[in-house]
Amino acid sequence: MIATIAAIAVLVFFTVRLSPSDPIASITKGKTVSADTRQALIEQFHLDKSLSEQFIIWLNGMFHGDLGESYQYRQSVSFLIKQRVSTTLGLAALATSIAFALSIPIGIISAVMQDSFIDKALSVFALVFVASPTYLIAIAFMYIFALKLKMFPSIGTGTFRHLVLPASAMALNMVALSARITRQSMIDELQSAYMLTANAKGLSKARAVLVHALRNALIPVITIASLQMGGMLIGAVLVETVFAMGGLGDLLISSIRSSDYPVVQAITMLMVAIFMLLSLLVDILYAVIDPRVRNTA
Amino acid sequence: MKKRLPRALAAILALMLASCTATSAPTQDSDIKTLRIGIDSDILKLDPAYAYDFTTNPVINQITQGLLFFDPNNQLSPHLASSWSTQDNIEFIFQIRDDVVFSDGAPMQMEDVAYSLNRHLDPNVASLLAGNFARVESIEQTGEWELTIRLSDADATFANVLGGTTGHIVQKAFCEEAGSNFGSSAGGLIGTGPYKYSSGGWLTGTSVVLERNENYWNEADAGYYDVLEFLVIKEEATRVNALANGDVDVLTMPPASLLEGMYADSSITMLESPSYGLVFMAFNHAKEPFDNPLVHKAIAHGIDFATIASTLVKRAGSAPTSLPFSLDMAASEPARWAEYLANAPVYSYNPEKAKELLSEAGYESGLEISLMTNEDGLRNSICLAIQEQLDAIGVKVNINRVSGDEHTSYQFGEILDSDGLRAYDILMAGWSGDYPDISSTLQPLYLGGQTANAAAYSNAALNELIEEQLRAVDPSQRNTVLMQAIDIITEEMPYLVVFYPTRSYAVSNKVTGIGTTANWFANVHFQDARPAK
Repeated sequence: MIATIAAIAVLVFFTVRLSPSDPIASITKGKTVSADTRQALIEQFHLDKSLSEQFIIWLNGMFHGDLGESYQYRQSVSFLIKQRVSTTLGLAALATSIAFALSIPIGIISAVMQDSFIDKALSVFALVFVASPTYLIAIAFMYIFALKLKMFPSIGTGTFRHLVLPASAMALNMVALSARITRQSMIDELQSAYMLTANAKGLSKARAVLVHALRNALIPVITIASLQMGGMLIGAVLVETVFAMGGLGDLLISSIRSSDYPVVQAITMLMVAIFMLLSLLVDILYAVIDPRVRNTA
Repeated sequence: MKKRLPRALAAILALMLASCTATSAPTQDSDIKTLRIGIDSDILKLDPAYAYDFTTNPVINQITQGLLFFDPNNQLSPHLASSWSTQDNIEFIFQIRDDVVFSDGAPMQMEDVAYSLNRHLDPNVASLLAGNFARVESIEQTGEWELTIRLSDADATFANVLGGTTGHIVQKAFCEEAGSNFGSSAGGLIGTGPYKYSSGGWLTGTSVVLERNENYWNEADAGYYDVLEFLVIKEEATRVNALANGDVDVLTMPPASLLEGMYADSSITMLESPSYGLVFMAFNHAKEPFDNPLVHKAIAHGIDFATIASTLVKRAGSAPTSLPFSLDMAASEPARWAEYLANAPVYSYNPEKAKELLSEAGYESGLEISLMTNEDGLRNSICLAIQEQLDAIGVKVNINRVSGDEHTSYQFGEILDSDGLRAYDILMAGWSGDYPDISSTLQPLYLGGQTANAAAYSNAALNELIEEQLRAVDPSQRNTVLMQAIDIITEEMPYLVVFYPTRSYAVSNKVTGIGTTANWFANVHFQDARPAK
């Protein structure tokens, strides 16, 4: 894990510097500056040091919780991230909750009622949302629920109500895929031998499906959901833009556009850390769900 | 066991959800009167030394004030200075008001004034406005309430600079104490304006909240609204929807591509004014044949700018002349300038003439050029029209669309080719003068060696005339020199004007009192806003 993070740190640091633009130009917004000012900035941002020295300074700072200073904002990167991370994490968490709350029942119903009219209708519903870009759903949601029905604010952040529309827009795309996987996975489980046993033991169908089959069927669903959740942190930029929420994705994009290396590096590393944390959590969840995993571990 | 899984899931999600409530919303107390203003990008810093763009300025202008300001008729007027004078355009003497108070209640002192202006000269501040003080030799207190600024070389336009954010005053003690934290979200700033900033009010990328300054020194000018909330809305359609939906009351930058619909919406009042800007095509003089005036004129005759203005630009601007500024920029003798314009050369749409000029320049068989632009929708449509029109005179245009920041780097000469020269044939870009004076367009665009001189153009006679007009003390004499300079420009046409942009503000019908002038960049003051009856 440490090796992975180190390798990614090297990769991130050196690839962002492949860009042809001049960091001083990014700091001064392309304004003409005197030689003295230029020199002062070069020293302030350690640009007079070699790349490998700059790398060491960055790495050392990171271990001490100092992510450097943003070129575009001229304030501490950790402060910028702190201000924005809650919006994005909140969005991802709510979107995942909504996605789970919808996709698992849909998947179960489809599996139990396999090939019925309801199953087919849900399939079409899922297909439509899998094919619709989040951006489009976001705009449609804003139009219907904010502008026409006035149920939610159209822009901004801060309260739970602000999160509902953007998180729902993000969730729908995820619901579609998760529901399909839950369905397939449930169908496999429903056909397995232990379901026959359960039936023979006289277990109610609901109990057999919801307790026994569902638990086994969840493993692939959780795998996909964890990947989707990681992707959402970046994918959130679309709804963040549409709903003017200014989260982490928005900061990353604006930093890439203005060659704000320290911010790009910090967010990328943060994403890597979150991805790794998520996969660790998934491993733990596997163990919770499946005793076999626990015993081998 | 069977309940453990849902619980574990719920716990993780609850943890993440809890994090989103960490940023608490400003409490919506119905007694607090809030004016919400939609801006199109985040501000750069809470520091007048960094206020040099269309979003940072409207925020900073509510918090800090300048020695001078532009009145609603765009006349330079006293503000924190009670008067100013100069005999030779070298030594500028300001009488400073003794009754000004900062938002924390402390009186403004001479040391605050001298300190604030000197910040632009400090390399460690790295002021974005340092260029405005390039000729400043010294800034000194010369009397109890008198400040003298000495220039190294005459500059007839210098006082204008102090009407903008360059002349804004911040509190020295606060600034020194905050150190490198000054101007950040946590650090903030203290000024003398009708609104004040409290630490944490700037949620980067999202909003800036200002509160009314209860210690404001100029009672007659106090704001009506208790709170100004600037909301960053980057997406164009969202910005317009937010106004239509009542989520914001004002948009400072209504998107050009959606103007028509906004004019049609009866719940919105559109305020518009001419600007000091131009959108231009710069011929890169570092590359052949773009240094050849015959080619400039051929292309000028090959493009139907009048039709482009009426069918594409529409409300976003007005049709060009051969002058690199609209007459709103003329600081004095407007009638004389109108007459000058009437006699200036006209390069109207004439494909036959264009072909003649091209063959005279040695390109009878045609020419292939690249035209660089940014992602702006309107400019892209214009480029397509130009591509089609120039094709008819045998000029093949390749449109090279680059991202906004990359485009800016090209425009200001930060991206150069391996020979250290500007790396485009023709660049479509924009420029906006900082103050109502022709010189604020002439100097940056036409003086040799300036970073904003996207044409990489330099003409010794013109350079000398630009310097000479800065020395002229008599305005009429100065106009004579300016006209000689523009004679050269209209003959060589290193830039073609595409259109003169119109500035607009979109205001909800629920709000009144906000005015707009060509100089709104420097002086829109939201303290004048009131709810409409």
